[in-house]
Amino acid sequence: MSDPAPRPGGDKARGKGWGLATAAFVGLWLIQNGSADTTPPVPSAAQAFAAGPHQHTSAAADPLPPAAPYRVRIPDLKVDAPLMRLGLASDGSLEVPPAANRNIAGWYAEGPAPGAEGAAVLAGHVDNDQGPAVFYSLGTLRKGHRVEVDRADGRTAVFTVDAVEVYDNDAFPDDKVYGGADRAELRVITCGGAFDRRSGGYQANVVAFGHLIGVRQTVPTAVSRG
Amino acid sequence: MRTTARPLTGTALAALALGALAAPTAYAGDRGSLEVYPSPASPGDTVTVNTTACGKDGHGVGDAESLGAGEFKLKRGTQKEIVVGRFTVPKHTKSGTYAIAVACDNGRTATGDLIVKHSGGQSSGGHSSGGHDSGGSGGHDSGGSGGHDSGGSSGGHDWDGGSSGGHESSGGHESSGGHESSGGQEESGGRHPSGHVKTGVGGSVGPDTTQIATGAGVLAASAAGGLWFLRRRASGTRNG
Repeated sequence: MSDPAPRPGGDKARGKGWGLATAAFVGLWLIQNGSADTTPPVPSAAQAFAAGPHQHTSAAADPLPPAAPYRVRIPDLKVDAPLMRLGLASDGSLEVPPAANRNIAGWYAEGPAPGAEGAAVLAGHVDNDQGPAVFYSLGTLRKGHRVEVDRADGRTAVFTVDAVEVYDNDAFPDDKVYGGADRAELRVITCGGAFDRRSGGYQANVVAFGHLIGVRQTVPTAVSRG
Repeated sequence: MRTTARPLTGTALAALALGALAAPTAYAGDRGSLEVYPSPASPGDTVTVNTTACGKDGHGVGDAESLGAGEFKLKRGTQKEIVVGRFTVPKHTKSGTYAIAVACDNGRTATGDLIVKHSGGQSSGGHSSGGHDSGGSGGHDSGGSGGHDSGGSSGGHDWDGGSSGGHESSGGHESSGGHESSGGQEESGGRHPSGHVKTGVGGSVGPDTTQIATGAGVLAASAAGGLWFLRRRASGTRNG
């Protein structure tokens, strides 16, 4: 960075000036933007079902027999969390894991198991009162990302993401999210959207849709070291 | 202990047998694993096996002679690199562990084990050993009673530790209860959750202090840079 000052320097000086101005602007923008309330990431419209043809629609793998899941991993989001069983709350909505634990997700145990035929439902918190929780980054998930679910039968069901959508709380499409499917599918749900302290917090849900594309044997049935 | 010892013995036997068979080929040491499900299976069940050993667009021949089911063919499955085959567990098959072997047309082999259990004895065994966590993949037994507060802490905890113990019992579940429960849910429409989930309290909402700090840093740096630049420019003009 120590170039002799008076080179044919007009262009260079102008370049530096612009660079500095840009840096100053970026700094100001960061401060201003950071001062606003940040909400968890929301998927872009490009991740919705409607956005164009499914690019690399991986072939669906044959469904597995049911077996309870015990762990979920989303490598692209650095999610690696145990799964607990969820039932229904008294109002008919899906129960949620205890908010105190920031790294636990749940599986709707009265619905299909991940990897089995049908739409298996996983849910987890976007945050608790301490800060971000297990599915905070769900909104950054993109089509083609992988979601892996370890199952009690020693298999890991591997899903690919088909879409990530946002639904307003008062227009939640039950059938689309919880309805049946004729292949092995997965739904991963968390809160998102705008945050309004007066009207009950998050105004929407972020839902990732996926389908089974492969199975790994976590506990090998056959010892096969060559 | 016995349950783990048995599949291992079976696998070792199968590996030995295959080793002898495959010795002349160049791929003798190159064995893949074979996925067999459901396992345990009951007599009369259709068992599906798949493996990646046969390579892309490969074929293979499976050998289920060990339980008297003869040979079966493996063809490309829904994924290019996986071949899939099916056979039926003969009605008279006794409970036990049976080695299943596959010979691919690329010369490679794969082995796996099938555990056969008779539904009657197996379901009672599954329940007594399976404990209530892993036993209920279909969730029939939980019915929402277990799933509440206590389920919150103990459920999560058990699953973590339960993966080893859960192996056998959940397997047992697959062949007996599994079919019924999943079928029932799909046909009846089951109890679906309704509405959105309440999975956030807003603790992550607020000013982003990191971003503000970064911004301040960038701004300070550009100010310092600007000063330095102006000084150099001033001196430069003087010199030239």
